[in-house]
Amino acid sequence: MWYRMMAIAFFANGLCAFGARVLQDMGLAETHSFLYLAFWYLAGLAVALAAFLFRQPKLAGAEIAVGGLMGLFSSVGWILLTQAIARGMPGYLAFPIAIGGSLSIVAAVGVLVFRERLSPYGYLGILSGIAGIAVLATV
Amino acid sequence: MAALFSLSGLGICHKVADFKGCRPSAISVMLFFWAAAVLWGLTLFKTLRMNVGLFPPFTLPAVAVAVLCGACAGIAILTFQIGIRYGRISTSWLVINLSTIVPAILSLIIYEEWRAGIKWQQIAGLVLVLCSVVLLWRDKAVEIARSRKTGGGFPVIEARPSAPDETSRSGSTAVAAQEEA
Repeated sequence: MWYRMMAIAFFANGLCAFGARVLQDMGLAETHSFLYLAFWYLAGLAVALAAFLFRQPKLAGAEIAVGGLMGLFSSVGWILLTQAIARGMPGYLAFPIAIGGSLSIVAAVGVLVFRERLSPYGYLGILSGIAGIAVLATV
Repeated sequence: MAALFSLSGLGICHKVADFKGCRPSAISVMLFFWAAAVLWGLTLFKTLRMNVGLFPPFTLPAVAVAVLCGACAGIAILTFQIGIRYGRISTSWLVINLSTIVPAILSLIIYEEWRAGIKWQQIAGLVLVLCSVVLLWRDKAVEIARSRKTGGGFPVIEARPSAPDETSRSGSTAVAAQEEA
């Protein structure tokens, strides 16, 4: 079950981002990115809502507030990512930087702000991610 | 870079949501709901301001791609939430983070981006970011092993008794039931 679910999650999660590159190829990324993302989130909402209503249809105040903040960060992040691709940033760089790179930043904030303790792997991971972003910023 | 920092803000909110004990399925719904509200607001504002039609015929292919990819995002979260009950969160998290390689490879192959010329900094940066993903996964695995020994609290929700894969359980503080990612 785990393999099946993770295989679906792996490809679905990868494919959901690829649409931004398809839009750029259509020549619509600069003019239609808002409309594209509006439908993108609406379709995602339909799937998430169907699963949520099936199980636990009540929301707590904190879930509404934190979810709202996350929606804001997600939408701004995707608007900017779509714009970066629309302006010629290659997809093979844009996706790993924005999605993979954010992992390192979140881990670094965990250490600096939330005082989380990491293993040596964690510290190396943060350094490696930040070094990767710094190298790519020089291009 | 701004996109990177925005998406990092999203990851930090995931930590806050976990700290506040928010249910992952509820967070997913609210995330999609508010993001859709922001994007629809911007789309309608732009449409009214520029006095252009919302659905000229040439946008239909874009809408089709958006619906398909948006549904994929919803399915990814849903299958991840189901799958995580049957396996380790660290490995599941790695799978999800490595999926960033899918659009990167598709871009290279389908749109032949390699023809435009690849600089050594791009290769080095890409390798470093991927190394970072794997190292952070190893860190999470160490954290889980440590919490198992101490009976500590990661991940936060207790295992469900019905999870079939006993080898993937981590005792009373298991992985399993973290309802979401």
